[in-house]
Amino acid sequence: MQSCSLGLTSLALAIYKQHTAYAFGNREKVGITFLDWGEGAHARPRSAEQLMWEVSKRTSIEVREAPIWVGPEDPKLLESPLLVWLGRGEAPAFSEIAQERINLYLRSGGLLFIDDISPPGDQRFDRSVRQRIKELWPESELKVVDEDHTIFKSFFLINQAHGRLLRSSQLEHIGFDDLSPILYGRNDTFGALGRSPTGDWLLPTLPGGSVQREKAFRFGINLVMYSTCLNYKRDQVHTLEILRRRQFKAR
Amino acid sequence: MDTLLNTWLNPPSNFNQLSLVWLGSWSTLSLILVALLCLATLGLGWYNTQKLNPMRKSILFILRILTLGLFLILFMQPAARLEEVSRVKNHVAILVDHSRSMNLPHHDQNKDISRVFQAHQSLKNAQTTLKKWSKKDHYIDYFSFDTHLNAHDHQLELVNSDPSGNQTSLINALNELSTRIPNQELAAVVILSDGGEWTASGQIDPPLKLMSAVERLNTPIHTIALGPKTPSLDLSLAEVRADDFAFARNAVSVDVDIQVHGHQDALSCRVSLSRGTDLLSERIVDFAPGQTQSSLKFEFVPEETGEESYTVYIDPLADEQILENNLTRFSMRVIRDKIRVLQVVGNPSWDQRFLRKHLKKNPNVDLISFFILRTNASVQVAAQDELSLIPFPTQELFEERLGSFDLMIFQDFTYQGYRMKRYLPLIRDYVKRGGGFMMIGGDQSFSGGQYAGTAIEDILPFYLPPNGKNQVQLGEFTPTLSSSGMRHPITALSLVPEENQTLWQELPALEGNNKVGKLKKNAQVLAWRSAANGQTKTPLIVASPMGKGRSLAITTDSIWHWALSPKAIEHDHGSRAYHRLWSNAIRWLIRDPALNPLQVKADRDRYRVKQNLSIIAQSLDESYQAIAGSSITLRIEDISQGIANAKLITEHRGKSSENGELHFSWQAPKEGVYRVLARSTQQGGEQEAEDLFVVAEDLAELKDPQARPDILKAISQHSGGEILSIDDSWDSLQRKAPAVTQVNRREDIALWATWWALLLAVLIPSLEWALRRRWGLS
Repeated sequence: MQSCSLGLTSLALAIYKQHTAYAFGNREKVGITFLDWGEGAHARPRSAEQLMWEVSKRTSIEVREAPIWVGPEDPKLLESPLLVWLGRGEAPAFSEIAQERINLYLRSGGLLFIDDISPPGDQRFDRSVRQRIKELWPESELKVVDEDHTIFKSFFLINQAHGRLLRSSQLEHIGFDDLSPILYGRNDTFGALGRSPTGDWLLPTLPGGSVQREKAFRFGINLVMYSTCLNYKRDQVHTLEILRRRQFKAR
Repeated sequence: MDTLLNTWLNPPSNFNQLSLVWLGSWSTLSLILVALLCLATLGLGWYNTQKLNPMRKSILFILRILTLGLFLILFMQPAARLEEVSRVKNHVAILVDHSRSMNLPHHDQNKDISRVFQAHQSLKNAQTTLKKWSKKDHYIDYFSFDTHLNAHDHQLELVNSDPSGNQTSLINALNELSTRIPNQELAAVVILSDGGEWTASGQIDPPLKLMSAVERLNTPIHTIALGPKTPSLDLSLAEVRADDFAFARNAVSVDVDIQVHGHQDALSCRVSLSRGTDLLSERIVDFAPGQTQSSLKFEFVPEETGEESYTVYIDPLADEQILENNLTRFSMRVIRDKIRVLQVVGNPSWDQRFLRKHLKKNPNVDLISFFILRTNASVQVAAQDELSLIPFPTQELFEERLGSFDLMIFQDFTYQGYRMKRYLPLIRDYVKRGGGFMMIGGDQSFSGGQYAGTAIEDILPFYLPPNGKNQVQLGEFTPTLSSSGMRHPITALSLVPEENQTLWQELPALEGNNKVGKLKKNAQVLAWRSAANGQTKTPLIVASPMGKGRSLAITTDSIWHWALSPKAIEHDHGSRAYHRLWSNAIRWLIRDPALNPLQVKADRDRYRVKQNLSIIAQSLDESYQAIAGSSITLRIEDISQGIANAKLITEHRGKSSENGELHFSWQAPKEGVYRVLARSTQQGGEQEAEDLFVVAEDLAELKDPQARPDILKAISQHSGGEILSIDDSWDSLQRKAPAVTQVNRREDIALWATWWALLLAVLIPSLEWALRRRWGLS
């Protein structure tokens, strides 16, 4: 069933009347901003566009498909509620200004998702990014996100962060103010999303299969949904229904 | 000696006291020196007569003693003191209890004779005795007492005053008596009372303090106990405990303590709790034989906010004498526990994200959010169980639970597609009944949400242009405050208007807005999108009263930029402005009483009858600035029988002062629940505000009106006084005699300055000298 879901997406487009977005401007649309920092920042072309396209088709969110890139010292960083840092190789240290700005951004309600897009076996980014995170948020340490976290139920009911790789089943985060301003995944989620103009996937999934790619999309959609709805799915009105469905799946 | 002197001197009759005094005012040293000199002289005289025979020796020694004695008399200057003295009268204090319980019957059988009447009667009976005392040794001082001692010039004044004290304090009465009359001047105290030591919280047993006060007086205290010897049948509300305020839709409890006296057999009574005239609950309370106390708890759930009067009442028993203590009134202000907000969002967006975060962080907000995460147009590629979506419970939200919300927010949400049309009139009615409604812009709001021509348009502050997705204006802009917006509580980012305007000018730019139609009557535009690029200015934030409710329209979905943007974050005021705006909007929409342009408040919630109360009304304009000279009418109504049966008691009209205030002082003539209703006409619109207060006597004494002769008995026994009945004679009452005398005239007669004293002073030494010469001594 899941294996054919992406195919169905295209079919469904023809059946349903397309939801027309009349947002008052590009700034008001939900979109992804990449942190232009380190060697991986531009390494996943068309991934954000594809993800946001899927978001627009599967959810009611009005999206800005094209991502934008901002440097860590750029004041425009403070205009983007969802910031994604694609990283590989050494994560360069931030300047003092950048560190201060990102810290301010995170404490003001911004969300930074760090996606380790290193090739299998390359631990350089993982090692260095942990140091960068410590510098950005000295008072807390990265912790493993438990399975009850809203990001696993913000739209799809999933149980881990999926991506092009299956490097780690765990998602890590810094918790603050009942939210997770920093989320760190190691499975190259955005690597699974990029598609060429001709419709081919730009990168293969490992170990592979369309199910893995679909799961990566679902995690990506949940990430976008979490960035807009925050802990909405933890509201009491949802809790019982979600519990019931999770139990159903467990059988 | 005095008698001898009296016989000898025979003083004039106008002197009634005679005594021997010494007028010589020598120092102690002088006296010692003189005494030593006399002893030496005596010793020398004895030594010089050694060769004489014992007879002659004794004669000379006696003469020497007499000589020295005479010398000492002349030295000490003795005198007879004649005095005319008189005694100073001391005081007999008569204390009559004038607390309210003294109005209760003295006998069980005869309800016409009150305790105070009997006390006054007893005083009249003692009139002869009191006259006798006052003639000779005592002044008679009359006092009444309740919580304090009150002096009366004469008995008639005391008898003519009514007992009205709300509490009895024997301790205070005795302590204050000792400050009025010095203890040494007190001959006796007579107390006529039904006993008891009362405080605001009820009667207490005779404490050590009372006995200390008795001891301090150091005077016999005689007591006459009034009131029935055995308790009379009486049910009373000993205590009703309820909070001053409660939370709407939350259970409230009222604790009631009931006392019963004078019953031998088991009995039952009915206790009820009413709000206004509406009976809320009633309970039957059973008392076993001998049981004197029982407690019960009423619970109810107030649905609406506001202040109401409540009454707890015990149905009187057939033979019950005292009915005043069967009823207690109190007022309770019902407030919101939390502001219940329903946020319905058409699609997840940054604007919704930041508003939800603001609402969730506000501890006073109980937020129910419903976000449309997927529409019919969305592609469904996952099974329902793989999604976290739940159905949109329209019937539950907009019909069954509609009344439970204080505020409803439609944020970029269209009703179409959810079979909601039939609920729209219900939402309109909910707002007109007092609910708050806010529509926030977006392509699915206003005409974009197809609301033109629906019941929702009725509760918007403006008319809507024809439905359609193109009713929007794009482009960035900085909003401009209107003149109303400069002072309106919603747009008041600062209390200083000039500073407020500056803050608005410095806010991050917004983007895009919905087009709207003509403003409705009473709508106030607080902020505009200024005219630019050939476009006309359009309302951005518009507020309007809507029936009893309120409506607010914000025609953009980009206010989140005030929460997250370089300007908002890096300038201190930015993010604060975002939170201030929403907090202000919510408070205004839920009709936070503190934001009502007309305010009225009595200075207390509870008064006694004829106690001065002060009412202040304040009139503010639409910009919440004080209006001077505004006509304000204050109506004070008795609503003891419910608001529907309100009786106008008094009305006061006046103009507000420079600070918009009108002051009114008044005294409630009788017990009851009162409402002060303020009305003013401001700029064409009538404003109304109200406050409630209860006027009730302090019934502390009547909660347990039984006489306490045991307390009076303890006082008498401790002070050495007597316990009298009302018919006993006062003649033999023990009194301390006056201790102080007064000397009116005094005269001293010098006993040494007489001719015979001088003669003896010459003769005796001469005789001694002659005999010494004759018997061969030098």
